[in-house]
Amino acid sequence: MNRIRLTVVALATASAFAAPALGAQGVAVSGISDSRARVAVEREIAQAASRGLPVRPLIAKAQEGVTKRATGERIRVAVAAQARRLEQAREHLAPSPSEAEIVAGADALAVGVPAPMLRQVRAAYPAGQSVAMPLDVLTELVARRVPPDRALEQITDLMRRGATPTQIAGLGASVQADVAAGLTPDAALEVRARGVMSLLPAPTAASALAPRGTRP
Amino acid sequence: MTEFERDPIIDRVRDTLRGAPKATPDQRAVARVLQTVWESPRPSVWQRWLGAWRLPAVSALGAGAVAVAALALGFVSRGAVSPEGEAAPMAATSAPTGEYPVAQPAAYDAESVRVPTQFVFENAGAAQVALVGDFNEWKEDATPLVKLPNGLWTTTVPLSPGRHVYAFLVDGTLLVADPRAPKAGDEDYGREGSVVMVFDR
Amino acid sequence: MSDSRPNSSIDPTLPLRAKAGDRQAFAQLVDVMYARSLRFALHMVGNREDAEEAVQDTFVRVYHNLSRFRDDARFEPWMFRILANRCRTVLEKRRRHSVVIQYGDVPDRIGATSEGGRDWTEEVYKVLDTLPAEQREAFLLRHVEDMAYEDIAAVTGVGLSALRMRVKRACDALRARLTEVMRDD
Repeated sequence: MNRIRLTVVALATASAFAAPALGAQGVAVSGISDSRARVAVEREIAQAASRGLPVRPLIAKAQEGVTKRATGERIRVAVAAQARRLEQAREHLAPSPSEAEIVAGADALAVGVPAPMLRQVRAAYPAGQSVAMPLDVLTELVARRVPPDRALEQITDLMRRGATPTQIAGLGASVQADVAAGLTPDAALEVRARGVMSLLPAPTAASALAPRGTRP
Repeated sequence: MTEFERDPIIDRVRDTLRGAPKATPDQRAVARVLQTVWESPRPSVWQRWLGAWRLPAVSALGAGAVAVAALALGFVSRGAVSPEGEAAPMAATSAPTGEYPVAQPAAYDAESVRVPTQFVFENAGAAQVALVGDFNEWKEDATPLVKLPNGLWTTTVPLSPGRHVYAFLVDGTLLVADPRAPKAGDEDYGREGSVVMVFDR
Repeated sequence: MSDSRPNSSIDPTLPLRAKAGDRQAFAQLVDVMYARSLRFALHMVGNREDAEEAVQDTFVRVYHNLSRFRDDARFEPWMFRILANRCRTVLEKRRRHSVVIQYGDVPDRIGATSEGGRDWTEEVYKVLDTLPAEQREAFLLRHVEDMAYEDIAAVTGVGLSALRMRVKRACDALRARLTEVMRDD
């Protein structure tokens, strides 16, 4: 099989060769041997771009399919699915999530985190503080088979108490290692969350009274 | 199967017994077993040969003590006590102790931070090995590994903090997950890869 | 995820990796084999506490004896040999201490509700419990674990014809008692 490259050509203006779906910023994809599929993938990406979704993750998704030797049709389906996840993530992380947050949200959706949970994560940090890392950790915990409810509760609890993204990331990495060493995901999460908790300032009276997020 | 074994009654008995116990053991039971195994003392050579060694009872207290020790270890290993001032790139694969990819950091904050993360792959026979993942958009030629005389392949890559999925492409044809890293499911293509959690401290 | 289907053959590289020190591989082995092991132990020893202890004990021994596991051997018969041994030890200990197992002492048995008439499941367990241990063991390995006789021979250390005889006797006993129950259904 030929080595296949995927390239993106940004067009300042729509060209005669561009697919009709292209907007002001065109996207052309080369290297998927099935030309029909290639055009379909380009169209998916272009449509996503016109909806204001980040394009880089979609190109990455298409290239991933090429590297994994997937059929053109499968790549198209994957790109479409990723676009849907990006859109859902953007909606539930409103207002104005960064690209990193949207991608992290999409990854969470991909491992089965219910979309409303993204809102809860967003609400647990002050506006303007990125929730990309807590979302990544949520994804990893759920991937290690911690029940999503449990993982969400633990992470948002720590976030509201002022845990930094780094501290939450440390939790994620430790739980990952613990599970690999044989602890149940639940037990690992509990003990590591306690560890992070012990580093945080004691909750003030105000934050102690703050209502917990309701479950989705 | 001989004649006397094929029998509606025996078949029904088999179904009954296969269906039990109803309460399928959950992950907790498996984890308890694992915890007992890890804590169990290695029997002496004589004990092993004679098969006459006893299992020490694991009390609830014992299990708690293990958890606390693990917590302490976790904090120490993550650099609460750092050996050198310089933040060296940390191996993103298991040392002989069997740890899992955890990157150690330097600076701090924001999504623009990059943490040098080392990847190691063992394959003395390969002609080329590439690293592919979400950080290089899965491009086959973006991140080749370098082969060392001892048969290990390695490269160090600056990664943004967060969760990253990757795999190794061997000889341009075989996509392999990192045997020493936790698995990453693949919702879209069904070819599972590996996970590394990158963070800075 | 734990699998209680017999002969859902495990990945043959797992025991080899575990043998080489890969803890995650060992954890996966436990995960795969736990349900089947517990089921066999439960049927052999009759109560959950003893069964769990036998299974736990087995995995510890498996772990510490992996160095003796031959690379070309199959893992399940090797492990079941240890497990069957543990179960036999439990039964021996119990006999020596003269603990009497009442049928009511097995709360984890399913279908133990007898609403008038005899309950099929309860009767199966009754017959099973009255069988001599070696017949029960041979029957479970053959008909519940679906093991080939050669493997059962490796597990029990008993010759093929003796094994066939044990299985036959167990089947005869089950048939004799349960034909009536089936008629009552």
